[in-house]
Amino acid sequence: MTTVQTHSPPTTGSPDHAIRPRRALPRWLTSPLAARLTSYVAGLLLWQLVATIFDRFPAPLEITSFLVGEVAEGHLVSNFAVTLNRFGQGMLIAVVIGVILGILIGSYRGAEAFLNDINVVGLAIPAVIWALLATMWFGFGDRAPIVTVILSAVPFVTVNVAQGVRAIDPRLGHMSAAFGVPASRRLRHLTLPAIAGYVFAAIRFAVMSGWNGILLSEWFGATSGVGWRARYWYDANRMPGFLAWVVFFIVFMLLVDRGGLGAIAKRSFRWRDGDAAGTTDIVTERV
Amino acid sequence: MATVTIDKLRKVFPTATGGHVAIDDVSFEIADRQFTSLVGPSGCGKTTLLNIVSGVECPSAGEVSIDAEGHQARIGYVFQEPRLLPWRSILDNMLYVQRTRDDATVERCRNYLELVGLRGAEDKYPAQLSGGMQQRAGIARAFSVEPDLLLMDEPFSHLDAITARSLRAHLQELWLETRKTVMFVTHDVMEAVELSDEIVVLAPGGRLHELIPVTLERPRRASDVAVARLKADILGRFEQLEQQKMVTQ
Repeated sequence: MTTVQTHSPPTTGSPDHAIRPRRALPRWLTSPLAARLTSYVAGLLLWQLVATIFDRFPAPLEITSFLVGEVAEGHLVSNFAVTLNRFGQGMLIAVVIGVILGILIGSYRGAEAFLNDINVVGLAIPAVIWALLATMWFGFGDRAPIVTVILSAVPFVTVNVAQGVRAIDPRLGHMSAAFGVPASRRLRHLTLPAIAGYVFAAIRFAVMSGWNGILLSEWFGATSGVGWRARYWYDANRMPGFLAWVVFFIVFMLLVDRGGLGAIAKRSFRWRDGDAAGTTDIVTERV
Repeated sequence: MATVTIDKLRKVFPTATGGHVAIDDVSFEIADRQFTSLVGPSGCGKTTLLNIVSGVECPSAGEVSIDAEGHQARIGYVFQEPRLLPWRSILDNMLYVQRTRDDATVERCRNYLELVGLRGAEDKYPAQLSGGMQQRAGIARAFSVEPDLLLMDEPFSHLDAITARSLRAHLQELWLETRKTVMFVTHDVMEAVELSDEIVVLAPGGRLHELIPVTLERPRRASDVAVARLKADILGRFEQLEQQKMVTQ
């Protein structure tokens, strides 16, 4: 007896097991932007709650009105301008020194042996120590805050850049050597673009560390700037004044981090997805 | 144009156990405008030899001299992988290795891109091109420096058979037009027969085994009977070499 096998189309299962699109929440509710906004609102609500419970903790509205007052009297803009100027000078010098040291450490074993441990010590010293030391060295004025920014930012730039240089594909160096490409051109077209991502990561850490440094330095040894103004209200025992400036620092750092650095990084890494015209959305790893 | 003389060359890489001999007392000469292939099993020192000739590595003993009619020899190098700077456009990658950056140089680079079939790709980034196109760019880059000596290290080994065949044909055309002195490393005997004037066979241990002149007419194709016959003959010699090795072991 022969059995006849029939090939029937696979059964599609009962309706109970049917695969349907999952009913999802609306996109706007689950997006990263929504999550971020929720975190801001939650923070504000928590703040309001704490302010209601403790009278030594000013409410968001009180802080805002205090800041408006500082703006109206011109203190916010003038002090912020002074600090930003010092911070900018310090960061620029720190990035230049850090990139040079990082390239040396990443490229030469001798330089690594000589500089690496010094840099680790630099990383380990907190910004407050540099702020105190710089104030004792240079007294009141612009120099102490600038030097504090440099000293607290350089180790972060150095360590990241050195890591970036070590990660450069050695085959590209070999190619450059085989074609006899001069060192200056190699630096400009091979090393610097290759470490750009690491420099951005470095600047991000350095901005955080440097900002800490400048606030502390102005707190201890300046007669102008946002750190000094925060201390002014602290000494006057005016809680809303002190916290208003703290909130201002936080908002400023968030804006720098989310806005400025992110946008520059995005532009610099167009080549990663090979999109020369920049017509598609660029996937950039956040640095 | 250049004549290459390799004289009693030896290269030893230091290892924990004393040293690994990559090239052992190798001497031969490459005539001006000659296409020479280096053939041999993996680890017989082909790439090391190329790196020494390019000046990237130093020999442990012996000497390589490149006579380029009185001036310092200009060297072009095509690698196994394209080795393009990913953050520079194709044209900028070509300019990266040039001595000058004037209009004539840019024009020359564009010409070589056109010769390898990459017209219109000047402003693209490497990631926007296929593997075959990137390798073409690598070949154009090497030719565009107008080298006295062109070094090629298994340039088609990472490509699929069809792309490799088309690039080989392109390379042969380009070489017939320019007649550069070429050192071409390959493990593919057919490729060596198709392209070379002379085949240098290196044996395991980095020793020179044999020099085989190839006098077949050009342009050659892999499907030509004479090419296939010579390939079979050389493979036969390889088998003998392996048998001798087994006997001595």
